[in-house]
Amino acid sequence: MDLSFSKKEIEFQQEVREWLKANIPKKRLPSLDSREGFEEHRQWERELHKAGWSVPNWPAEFGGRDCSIFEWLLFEEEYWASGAPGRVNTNGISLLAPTLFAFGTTEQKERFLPKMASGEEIWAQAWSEPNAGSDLASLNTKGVLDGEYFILNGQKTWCSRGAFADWLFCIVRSDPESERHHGLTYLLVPADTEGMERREVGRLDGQPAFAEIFFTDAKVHISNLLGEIGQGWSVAMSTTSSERGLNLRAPGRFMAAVGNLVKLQKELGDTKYLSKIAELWADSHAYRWICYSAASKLLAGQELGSDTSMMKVFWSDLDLKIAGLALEMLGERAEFMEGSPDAYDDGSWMDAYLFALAGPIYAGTNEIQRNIIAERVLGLPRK
Amino acid sequence: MKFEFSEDQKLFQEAFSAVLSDKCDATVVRKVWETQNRAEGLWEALAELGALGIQAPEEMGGLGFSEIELILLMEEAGRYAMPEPFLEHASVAVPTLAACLENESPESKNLESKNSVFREYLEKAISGELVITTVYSPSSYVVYGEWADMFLLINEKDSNTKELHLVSKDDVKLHPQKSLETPRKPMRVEWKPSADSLLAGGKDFERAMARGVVATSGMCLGLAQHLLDATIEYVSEREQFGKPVGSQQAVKHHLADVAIAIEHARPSVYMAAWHLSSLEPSLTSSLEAKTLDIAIVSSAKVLASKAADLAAKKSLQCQGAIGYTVENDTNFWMKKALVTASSWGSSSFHLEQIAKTL
Repeated sequence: MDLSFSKKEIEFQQEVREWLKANIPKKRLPSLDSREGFEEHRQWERELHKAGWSVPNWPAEFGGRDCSIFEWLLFEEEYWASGAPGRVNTNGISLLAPTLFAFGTTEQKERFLPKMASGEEIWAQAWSEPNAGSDLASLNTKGVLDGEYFILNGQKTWCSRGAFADWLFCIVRSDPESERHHGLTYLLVPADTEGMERREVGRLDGQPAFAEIFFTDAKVHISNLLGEIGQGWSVAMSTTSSERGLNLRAPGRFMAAVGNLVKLQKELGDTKYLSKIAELWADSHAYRWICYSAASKLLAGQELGSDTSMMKVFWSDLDLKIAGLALEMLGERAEFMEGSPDAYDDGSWMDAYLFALAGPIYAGTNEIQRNIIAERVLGLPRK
Repeated sequence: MKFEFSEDQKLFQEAFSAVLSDKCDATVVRKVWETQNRAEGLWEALAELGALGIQAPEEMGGLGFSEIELILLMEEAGRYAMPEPFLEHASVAVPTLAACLENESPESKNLESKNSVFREYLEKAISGELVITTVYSPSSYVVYGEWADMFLLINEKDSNTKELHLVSKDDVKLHPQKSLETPRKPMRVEWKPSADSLLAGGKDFERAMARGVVATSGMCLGLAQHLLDATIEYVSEREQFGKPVGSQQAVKHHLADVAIAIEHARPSVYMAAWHLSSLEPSLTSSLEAKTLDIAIVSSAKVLASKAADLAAKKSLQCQGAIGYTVENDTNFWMKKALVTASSWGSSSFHLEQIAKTL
């Protein structure tokens, strides 16, 4: 056991810090889930990419800088502490890319990864359906191969950033006779596919980037098949216990949010919340060290398994507690939205809270995660 | 950064665990709680293994290990609800005594006559002839008072200056209390500090206290883990409505929450142990010594206490009325968890410590 950072890691951290200090936008960008904000965030992805910071843990040939998982964790700490904008391509980078690296053909990797890294193509996950949320395996959108094309029919929904994204990663039922986890296929779908329509759905915060997607005889070329036909479920799930389990929410986000709580407390000068802030500081560090410990496991050649379910419940609860405490501290100003003259930091804590409310729902609800923990980690009886 | 323990470290933990499984199974724990007599042969076996001197340097007769090896033993001590003052003796008293003997700084260096007395105490503490227990705050109580030969006591000179003294039981007056955890026997101590009994002040005092806090965190993890394991076993067998109660989601979610709390506390506890191990043995002996980061120490305790407390409550809830009886062995772990979680500083105390650093 050696829990110190190496000289190289500390120098890396310093380099990230200095670059961010000199380059982050001076003004807060509009929400990345609004039409204008989406494009402004894409522009920011380009800036990051030019300097090699959009996907630092990827191989250099695809636009990264080959940094280690520890360096990536440090990068994220610096990134969020600097107050830099949210990442509009997170779902592509953290959910799709690990699968592309694992299952993509050479052509697919060369075709998709560099444009994902540069923000030229922004990705949305289209997995859920009106009748397949937590129970994803009941999905029913058809994608049957006919010659060189899959013919898609059906509906996807609750697709984050789906209204503006350039590409979607989908799971479809390629064998119409199949049930549950069988007969599913993982497809990469261009958003301008003929026969595909999108409808914006306002999210809780009113932002329109959430989408419903309708496929009517939409044709997707076979070159956009990821993995094998019928293996969609295992392709989608196989990387969740690897690095991808760590990628979605790095601890740096929550450490920075607690830092902002401390700042808020100092500005308000109210000491009665100190103990609650200290508790969230401890929790954010608990998540920090479990992530470094998980990274250490991965480097030692182990898999994370269902540990990532525990981490998901923990960070999503933590995120809500942090934003919830800020609203409590703001008192009657908590409800003031963006644009109100007396809103604290232009209503950013309410935005953070509304965003955090989604945490226990997406990426597998926390109830589903608790079932997974109980059955797969603790070995409790399924029935 | 590397979180993995070495094979040797794991082997030593297994050897320690084997002693406990032999000398301190649930039957022994019950007997100790009911009779308040010490577990037969346990302390001697720990001495023989070298565990009592795990944190004393080899040249002083110890194993020369650090807090990293110790933390693994503390988890085991918790898993077995070991009814012995191992925490106080091996994780606080012995290393603090050893550090005091290593202190070479001109202003606080000991006289040779005092050192030779302390050296003898250390030897006897490592061999198990002498049992040393400790308080954790100036106004708190020594534990396992009846079984101890000496105590580490705190003299508060003023609010900023506290010292640790090593005092024989012949020189104090004890006022025994009855604890929820019966073998612990906390006692109020009446005593007078002297120059001869002074063991550690300044940064070394803080260091000694941090040792106790981190070791307690490790013990909380072990207690929580046992409570979780025992409850899983129970709810997988116990049937109601024609199926195991552990198949009900409400029960599953309680236990998932316990697992989440334990797994998220553990890396922070290891971080705190590693942090202590990265410091010099004596912090007053060198000006360049790394400083103790109290937020790392206190957050380990807050997280581990929370896990132990949650494990105790959920274990009781999931075992139902059977869990509420003293006939069920887990009652000892539950009570020890509740007591341990609030020992060495309550969560509010440690949150205040963290808040000071923000």
